[in-house]
Order: sequence, then structure tokens, then C-alpha cells
Amino acid sequence: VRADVAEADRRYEVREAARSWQRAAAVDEETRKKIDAAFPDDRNRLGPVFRVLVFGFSLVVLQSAMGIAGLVFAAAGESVAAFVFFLFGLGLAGLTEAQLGSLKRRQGGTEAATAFLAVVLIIGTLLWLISHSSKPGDRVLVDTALILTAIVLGAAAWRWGYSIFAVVAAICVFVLLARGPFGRLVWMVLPLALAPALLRVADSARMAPSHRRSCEAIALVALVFLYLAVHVGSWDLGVVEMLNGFFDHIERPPSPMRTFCAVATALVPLSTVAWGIGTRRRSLIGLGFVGVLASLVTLRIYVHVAPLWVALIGGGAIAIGLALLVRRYLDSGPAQERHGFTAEAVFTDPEGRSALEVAASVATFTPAARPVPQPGFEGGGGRSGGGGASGEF
Amino acid sequence: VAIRLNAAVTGLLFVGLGYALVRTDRKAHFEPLAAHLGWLLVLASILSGIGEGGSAGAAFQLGLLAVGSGLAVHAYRAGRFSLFGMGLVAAYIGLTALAASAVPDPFLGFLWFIATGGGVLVALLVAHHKIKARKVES
Repeated sequence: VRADVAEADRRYEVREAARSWQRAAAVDEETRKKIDAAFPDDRNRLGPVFRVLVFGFSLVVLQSAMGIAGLVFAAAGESVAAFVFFLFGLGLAGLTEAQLGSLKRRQGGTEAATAFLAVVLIIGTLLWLISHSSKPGDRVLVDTALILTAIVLGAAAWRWGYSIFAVVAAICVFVLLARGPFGRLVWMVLPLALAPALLRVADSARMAPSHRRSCEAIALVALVFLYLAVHVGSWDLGVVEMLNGFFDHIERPPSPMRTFCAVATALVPLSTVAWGIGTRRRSLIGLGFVGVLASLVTLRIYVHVAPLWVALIGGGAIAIGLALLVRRYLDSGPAQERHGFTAEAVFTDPEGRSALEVAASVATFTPAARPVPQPGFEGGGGRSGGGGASGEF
Repeated sequence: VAIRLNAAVTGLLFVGLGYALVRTDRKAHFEPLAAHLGWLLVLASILSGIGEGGSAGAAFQLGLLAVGSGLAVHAYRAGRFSLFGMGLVAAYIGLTALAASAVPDPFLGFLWFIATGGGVLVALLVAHHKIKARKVES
């Protein structure tokens, strides 16, 4: 990351922390203003909604400009058009640099849009040029695409500090490693070494804030791949082997490895939760609980204890019950705290939490598309009526 | 048509519920959820009709433009930027669908996106600047 951007990000982090302290009544407005004055932010930033809108409309404008360029240069041939798009990508990378540098933009939407299109164009056109000049086979082309994407996105993440680029680059590296001779083994071993090291780096004050976030995000990606490697369903279906080109059904007889995977499917998410609780890291706890949920669904697939809807409702009810129990346990401690944990929403952004609630509700309340009954269908007169609805026809 | 009408009416009921929660000061913290879900349903129900042919499609496009613009203006004045974003995007889709059906040429289409997209970008940055200035004043 550019030194001036890293410095601005550090100051922004302090100001944001001060805002959350004020919201939690840990400091008063006077103190927050003093902190703001001590850590001035020279960047032009937008709020989350404006940022997303500006990002979207910037993409609309830039892609339309590329569309016109495509129409103009299409007559000159595909190679010329590809070369023009490559130059376009380099130009957008330069524009991103200018915005982050002299124009002092950060979290403004436009620089993220130019950065995104720059990497897409550079990767796309280079791949096109490679595939048309040397005509490699499918396997080489896929490997080349993964390597190229990992390098370009990794460099972009390092220079501009976008965690999403780092995440996609890490995914490409893991998929590439799965295409080697010991793919599953590498997915098991590498995260065990990589995740703790990256999380230590993510706590280092010497790193720029954006790089710290990227390190934490890559650590989480590594843990996801560890879970995929040891997941019993992934073992049975040969998911990792599919990435190596083996799409035929793999017959796996019962073996110690399968038993190990079955146990690890349960243990890896629980260990992640325990690790998160031990290190007070919310991202690990969240990821661990998602893994626990996935493992419970896996258990339901292998062991038919009840219909899926019963298992889901039961699981949800147990989760709510556990949350209430934990809350009551923490609340009953001295100063509503036990072992350094509290159920109080301290220093958390209420706007962000509210947005999360809205997003979760939209996702869960949105019904799946239902087939429209064809004319001629005659039901037997199903009964309906609120909670007592019956599915009998 | 029935599903669309169902969704629109349900959406309006949700918006009304949110309004009532605030007016009666009962569980007012649920208002954002009700308002966002309600407007999402209303806009989605209109959006689902813009692909229809003839005057029906044009009516839905116009409707999306009108409802989206109204929501965007009202939400901007109330300082509710997530609803403002929903309204703005809906209005832009409505306007663009109207323009696309009138001018099917790809070159003019790209020019349309550059001009209108650029216009919206400038308007957004100006609006943000004004909000920031208003915050500093207050």
C-alpha cells in the first residue's frame, strides 16, 4: 500500500474507533473531537450507500466506454481490440493510482471501480493473448488462468489494499494446489501452518490496516479450504479430485481416512469456535459457527433422524435456546461480564448491525419461486389458516 | 398479475406497518426492517413487469420511474440513504428501460449509459458534498 494511503487508513481506524467509543458512552463528544483533531483524515470518503452507488454507476460509465471502443475497434480485428482493452486496463490502473494519490480518494467508490475493471481487463486480455498465440491445452490454460489471476489480484491487493482481491487470489492459489498430485493433503496441511501465521501478522501494528484485514481474510479462506479437505461429504464425492479433472464417480470403500474425515467434519468447526473464543476473535467464532451449521446439515444428510424441516426448526430452536442461556449466564456475572466476555453490545456499530438484520431478514423471508398451477389442475380442497395450515390435498 | 398485485399490496402493508410502529412508538426499532422489506416488495413487483410488451410494459417502466423517483426524493430528504439508493436504482432502471425501448441502436445505447451514468455520478457526489456541509453546519 502507498505510504500516504496506509497512514490515512491508520488515522481513519482511530477516528472510527473513537466514534464507536462515543456511541457506547465510553467517551464524550469533547474527547471524540479531540481525537478527531489529533488524527485528521485527508481522504475523500463516502458512506456505505453512496459508495456502493458510486461504484455501480462508475462501472456503468466505464463499461459503456469500453463498449464503444469495442464497436469502433471490432472492424480492425480481435487482436487489435484485445490490445486496446489491455491498454484500457493499464490506463484504469494508472487512474486508480492517481485517485489514491493526488486526488486523495479512499472508500469513494470510483477508485474501487477503476481498480476492479483494471484487473479484469488485464487478466482477460492477457489470457486471450496467451490462448490465441500459443494455443495451449485446456489443462494448461486453466492453470495459467489461475496463476495469472493470483499474481494480478495479489499485486493489486498489495498495492491498493482491497481485501476482496486478496481473497480471490488466495482461492486461486488453493484451487491451483488442488490440481497437483497431493491436492487434498496440501489443503489439510497448509492451512494449519498458514492460518495461525496470518492471524499473527493481522495483529501486527507494523502492517497497514488494509493488509491486516487481507491477512485475516486469507486466514479465514485457508480454514474454509481445510474444512473442505476434511469434510466427509467432500471425501465421499471426491470434490478436491474433481478439481484435478477426475469427474467420474469415485468409489471409496470404508477406510481409516473416511473415519478420520467423519470425525474431523465435527472437530474442525468446533476447534475454530474454541480458537476464536480463546483469542477473542469474532471472525473465527462466526466462521466456526457457520461450519458447525454445515456439519449438522451434513449429519442430517447421512443420518436420517427426522425430515429436513424438522431438523432445521429443531436446530434453530436449540440455537436460540443456547444463545439465551449464554446471554443469561453472562448477564448474571459481576458487571454483566464473565471470563472477559459480555453479552452487551459494546463498541459495535448499531447501523451495521441493523443493516445485517435487514439483509438476513430479506434473505430468509424471500420465498423460493413456486410453480404456477397449470389450468386443469384440480386440488382436493386443502385446508388453510395461519399456523394451523395443513398440507393435505 | 395476481402475484404481482399481492406483492405490491403486501409491500405497502409493510411500509404502513413501519409507519404505524414509529407513530405509536411501539417496537419502533423494527421500522427499518418493515420499511426496507416493504419497499423492496413494491419495487420488485413493478420491476417484474417492465419486460412485458406493448403499452403494459411502458406503463410498468413509467411506474418504476415514478415510484423510484418519489422514494429517492423522500428518502433523501429524510436522510435515509439505503432507501434513497433503492429508489435511485429503481428510477434509473425504469428510465433506461424506457430509453432502450425507444432507441434500440447499441452505439446510442452506450452513449446513453455514459451520459446518464455520468450525470447520476455527478449528482451523487454533489448530494454527498451537500450532506457533508449540512452535517458540519449542524
